[in-house]
Amino acid sequence: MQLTFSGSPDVAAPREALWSRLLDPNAVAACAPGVESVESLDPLHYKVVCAFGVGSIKARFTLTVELSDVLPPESAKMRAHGAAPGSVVDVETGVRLEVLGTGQTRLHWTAEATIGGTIASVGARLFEHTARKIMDKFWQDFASKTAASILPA
Amino acid sequence: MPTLFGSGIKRREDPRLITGRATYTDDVKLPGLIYLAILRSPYAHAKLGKVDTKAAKAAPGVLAVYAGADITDRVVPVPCAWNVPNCNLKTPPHPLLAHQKVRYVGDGVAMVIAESRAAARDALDLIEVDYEPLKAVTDPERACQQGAPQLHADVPNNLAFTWVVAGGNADEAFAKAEAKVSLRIVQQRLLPTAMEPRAAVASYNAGTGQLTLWATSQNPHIHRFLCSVMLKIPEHRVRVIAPEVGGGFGSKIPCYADEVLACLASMDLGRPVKWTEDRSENYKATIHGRDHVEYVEMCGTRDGKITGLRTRVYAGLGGYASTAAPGVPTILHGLMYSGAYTIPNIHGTVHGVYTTATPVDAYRGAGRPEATYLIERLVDTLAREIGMDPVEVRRKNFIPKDAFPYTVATGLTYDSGNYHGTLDKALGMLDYGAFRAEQEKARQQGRYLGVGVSSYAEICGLGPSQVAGAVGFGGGLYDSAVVRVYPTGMVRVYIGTKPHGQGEETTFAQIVADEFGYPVESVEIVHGDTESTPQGWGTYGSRTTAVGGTAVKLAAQRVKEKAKKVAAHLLEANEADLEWKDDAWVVRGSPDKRKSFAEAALMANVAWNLPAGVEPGLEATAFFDPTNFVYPFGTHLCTVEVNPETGQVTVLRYIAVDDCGPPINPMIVEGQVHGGVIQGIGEALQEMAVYDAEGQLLTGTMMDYAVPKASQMPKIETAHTVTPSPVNPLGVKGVGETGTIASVAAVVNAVCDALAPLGIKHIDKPLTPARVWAAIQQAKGNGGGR
Repeated sequence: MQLTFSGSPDVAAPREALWSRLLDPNAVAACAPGVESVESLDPLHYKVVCAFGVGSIKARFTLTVELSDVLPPESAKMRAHGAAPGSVVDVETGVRLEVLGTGQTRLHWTAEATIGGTIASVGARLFEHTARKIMDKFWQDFASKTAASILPA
Repeated sequence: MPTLFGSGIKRREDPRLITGRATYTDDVKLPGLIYLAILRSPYAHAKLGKVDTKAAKAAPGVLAVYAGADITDRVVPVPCAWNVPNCNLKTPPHPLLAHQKVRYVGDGVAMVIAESRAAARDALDLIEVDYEPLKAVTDPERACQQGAPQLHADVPNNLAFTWVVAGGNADEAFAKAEAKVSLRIVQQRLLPTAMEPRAAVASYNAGTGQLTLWATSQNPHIHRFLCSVMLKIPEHRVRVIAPEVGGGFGSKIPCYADEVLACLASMDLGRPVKWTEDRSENYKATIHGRDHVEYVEMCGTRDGKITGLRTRVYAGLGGYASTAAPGVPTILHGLMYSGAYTIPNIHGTVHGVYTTATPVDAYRGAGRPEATYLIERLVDTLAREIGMDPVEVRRKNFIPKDAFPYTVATGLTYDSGNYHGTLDKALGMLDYGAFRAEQEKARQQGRYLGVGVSSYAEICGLGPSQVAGAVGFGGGLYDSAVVRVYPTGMVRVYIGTKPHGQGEETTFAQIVADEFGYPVESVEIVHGDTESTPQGWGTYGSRTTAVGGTAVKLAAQRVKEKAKKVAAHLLEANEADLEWKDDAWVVRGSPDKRKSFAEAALMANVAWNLPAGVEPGLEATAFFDPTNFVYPFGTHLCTVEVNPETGQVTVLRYIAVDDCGPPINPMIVEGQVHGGVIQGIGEALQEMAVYDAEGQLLTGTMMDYAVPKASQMPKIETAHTVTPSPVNPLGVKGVGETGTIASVAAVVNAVCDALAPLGIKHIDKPLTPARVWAAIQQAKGNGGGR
């Protein structure tokens, strides 16, 4: 099954601050629910282990993440491919940062997820809702944590 | 003495089934048992790269791990066993484990054998597989268009076959016709959902070279043959045991890769191996049913005479051609296009199409429900087009009862029938006229009531072996029985068919007990073990009673003939002077001189005093090969109310009048009708296997696939007429599939009748509230309605 998600939250932070956090896997992982480990293979490749649950199905995915089309400090693409018992997931994410004014940035994101195997056949009814909730929460947390990080200590 | 034949005694198999004392395949436990689990593709269609089994092999408890490449040279691919001739059939290899490509979600990719079921399953997660995903296509009509993803290298446009049936001159009939109607019909994919999923236990004895396979099989002798072929071991070293089988509905006819993999593992590891599906695996790895997209037309005169029928059918086969798959939408479907009618001109084209979905094979009714549905939908549509009552159109076109044996335009010769009889009986039970009046009154009040008629004739009792050979079926279709009488007179009957819910342990015992003047308790029916039962072809196609039951009857008669010789000898009388009375032979004119069957049986077995030339022992074998199929028939009526606000369909009454010849056990017949009707109502109202655009099965659990529940079902009112078949000495036909064959059209016709005032002509099943509501909205938007 294929699902498309998008959003464009406004963030109270300058574009550069957002950009540098976006490329910091640990900062990204800190916002992503269920991430258990992030291993940087090289500046453009990561290995991520995360747990995900939908309905009665709980799965631990091992994801290989590749960054591409990186155009600092404006946009980048991320491709994640992962497998869990009986299931596969592919997510293509695009991020574009739009300067709104001093210290204000709009974060445009899109994600296209393709899910196959057990999770599609067992969790189809619940999956879209759950995935949308997770994605919204992730970008919300990312925006608020970035905004918080630039506040004077 | 009253006969047992015709008596509705309780099923003898039920006490053990309902008290948990039955032994199913998964209950089989052997010393040293180890477990098999199969890694299944999460992709509908992908190139298969490296399958890395290293980590799985090192996991605790794991004994062996195999990928497709490890076994390709050792086994023969899963054979398609119904090679329908004259249709350019292409059956590309179906590897036991995918090799180079996967072709549906659930296609086996690798297998693990471990000390425990849990260890085997856990190790599956450690197998790393490189897939290169390809485009999926699960719709059979789209799959054979130019540009569709190609499943097999040597099957252009995924076209497995194009099969044509023709009789008369349909094109001319349509050109001349006064009235014509056409429909596009989708017969959705269904999941058979037997209560017991599939399972296998394989045990190979290297010392004797003997392989024993316990398997969920409707036809153990076919499994024996196919296992022998796939594993390349001699057939006489293979024993297949199908213990209790918890429903099949066709899904346990095929010999699947899985059970053969268990055999291979046992041969390699020298220990017994068990494999058992869970429900989600069952929904992906066990065959599906139906899956047709159909363009169908009917033509006739304005006064209701049907003159022609034309079809173009796209039948989805899934990723590979399963065991009997090519025969289902052709021989069992297209040849039945005349239904219960004298349609002089018929032309049908069936395209069998590979799709990236689970293979489709015979499912309860197998091709015949699809045929009846399209015919009965067309008859109703034609009736509406010419403004005639659908009942009258049927009456006008039925094959008349004095015309049998009757050869229809497709070439089949129907054995016997009285179609007006079942129709009239059903109409009387409903009080059709009163319902029409009530319907009219309800319409005035804005309520939508409808009545659906479905009159069917079906082909079953498969069938003459000569015909089986001529239509490419890879086996015979006779069946067999051994009747063995013990010294105490007790009887065991070994049969070649394989009951798995149809109740033949009761009905066959009724046949034999009657023959010997016994209570039913003195006869046991033994089935499901190729070691003890004679060569037979299994239970499907409503053949068990008409073919296997006749073999039982013939074997019992042979036994009785021999016992009579012994009795005559003991009575010092001529055989010709003996009369059979209740349970004994009596010398005519001397009622005191009598020998019971049991007394003769004792003497035959001890052989102290036998007539000259009579061998000791008392048993006989019979093989019965019928000269024709049998053709049960009937009319089902369904009344419904449709809620126009919600689209909810409520079945008000369901009336089934069937004629399967003389019923051996009316209660079992009624039970078979109930089960069949419920499966058909499920198909009509709620069941559908859903694939998404990527070929993912979205209805992968019983939470998502809408199997009918008892609370959703109406009371089913059954009745019968009795028209014996001349094809077998019992006069019996089959009744295992009639309910499903008739009911789908009855329900959909009722809903379309209810919604006729809105101008709605057809809604594709399943008639879920969402679909019915959408059709109502669309009709209203188009200016229909009151």
